[in-house]
Amino acid sequence: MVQVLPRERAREYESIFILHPDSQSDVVDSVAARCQDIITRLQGKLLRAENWGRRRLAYPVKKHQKGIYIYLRYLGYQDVVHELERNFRAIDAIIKFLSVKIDEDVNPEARPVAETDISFVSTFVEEEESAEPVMPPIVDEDSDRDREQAPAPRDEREVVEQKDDGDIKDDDDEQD
Amino acid sequence: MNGTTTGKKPRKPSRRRRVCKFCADKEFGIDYKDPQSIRYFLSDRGKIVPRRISGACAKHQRQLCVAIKRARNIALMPFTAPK
Ligand SMILES: [Zn+2]
Repeated sequence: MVQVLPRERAREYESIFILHPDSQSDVVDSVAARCQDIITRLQGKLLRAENWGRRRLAYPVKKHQKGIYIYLRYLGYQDVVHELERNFRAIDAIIKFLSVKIDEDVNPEARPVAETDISFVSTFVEEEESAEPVMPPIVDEDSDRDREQAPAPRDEREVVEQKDDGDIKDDDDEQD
Repeated sequence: MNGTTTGKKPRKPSRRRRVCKFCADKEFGIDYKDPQSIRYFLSDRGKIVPRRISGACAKHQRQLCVAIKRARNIALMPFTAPK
């Protein structure tokens, strides 16, 4: 594979993937270990691995209401994300994933890894239900609706009525 | 004919928040991984609140949009109103 960046520079990425909610800890462990293998095999570096536990999903994914979130942050080159995502697709336990580039050009030496940052990969802790309140279901809050929904149409109409010579954005700025 | 409904009424500006929340508080980052921090900018139908309502500045509204879309992608935030 072609290397665009010289080896002393790398890109920083993060990936989140969601595992089947019934995955046992050994599955989680093996998937995490496999990710680390891939990253190191492609001369990347795993910076951080987190298990966010079993959380409620904001919408059903493959008919699951919950999923186990795993977060990885790593350094790598252009092929590492491609290879990781190829594996994400191949692993049945992974129901969804997302990779994001955080930084274009970093010096790997400037990103030291503490052992504890990636310790979860080897020692998976059972904290599945504790993560519950982190993502509460979005409920219909009256206060929210008053603030964000109800006033919206009125505000828009006022703007349209009174400002013929500018668009909404200008109006917004002029009030400041 | 002092019509109050014509275009020239001196509007008492119905100001909501005129200050961008993220400009006001530099500590307050926009992170798609922390849906709690950006939930305020989603309506109860799950839509992104326009910045003329939320008061976010253009720069932060752009960042917010990206963050919300990422959060939606990985099921941390809803695309549509939860039933
Ligand atoms: Zn701002």
